[in-house]
Amino acid sequence: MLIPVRCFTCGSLVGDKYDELQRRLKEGEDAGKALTSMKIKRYCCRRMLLAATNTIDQVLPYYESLSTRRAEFETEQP
Amino acid sequence: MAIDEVVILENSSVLYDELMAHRLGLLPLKTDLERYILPEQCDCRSPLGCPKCRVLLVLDAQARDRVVTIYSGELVSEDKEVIPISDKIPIVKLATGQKVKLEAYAKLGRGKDHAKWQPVSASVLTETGKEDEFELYIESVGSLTAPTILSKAAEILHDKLNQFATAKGLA
Repeated sequence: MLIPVRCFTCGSLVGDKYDELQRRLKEGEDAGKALTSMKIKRYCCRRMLLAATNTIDQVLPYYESLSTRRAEFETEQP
Repeated sequence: MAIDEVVILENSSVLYDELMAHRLGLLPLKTDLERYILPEQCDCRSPLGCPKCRVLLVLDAQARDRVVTIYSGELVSEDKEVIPISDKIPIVKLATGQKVKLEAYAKLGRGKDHAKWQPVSASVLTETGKEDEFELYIESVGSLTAPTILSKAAEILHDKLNQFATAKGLA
């Protein structure tokens, strides 16, 4: 769903680094180097960020269009 | 300290109550061991605790006109010292009109009860090669500092040994 808060294996905090990593990857930075510079050194924590998929982003559009439709419906009412 | 009890007043997000409570529980909180006591050592006997053994954190978030991510920084704590170590941990994502309102109770606990109370993410003891000399590497998650963890662990071990000695009639 969303990026896990902690690493499944060692329990260190990874949730707060996801946004920064995505930003840096978009800028074309190498994933391995970015992770190392963010002080994520063990491979358990590195895979948490590399393998995470925010599937919540695939679900939310349905709720967004639902609320848009509801708003349209309310304005259509006499 | 970690969130242990969550009262969900309203949750229209796509995450189940249980899932969100689990995410909240895993948030590492800055902890002052002197100020709070373990719930089982507290005389309040209340399931949600008293000001001596718990901290109340409140989350009230709503998406008004677009998709918003709710971060750990939006949790309001009754004790300004007990807050998540980072305010950029995503808790939930809300679509327009969705709302989350909850009360979370943070308590002290031990790693053997739940991994969320484990203060260390890596600890390694290595031999240095010299006789009777070892190197202990402790990596804290962030809720406590490594020296605090080590001295508290020694203190707990000392107490346990004393208990053992008294039980065996050695002391």
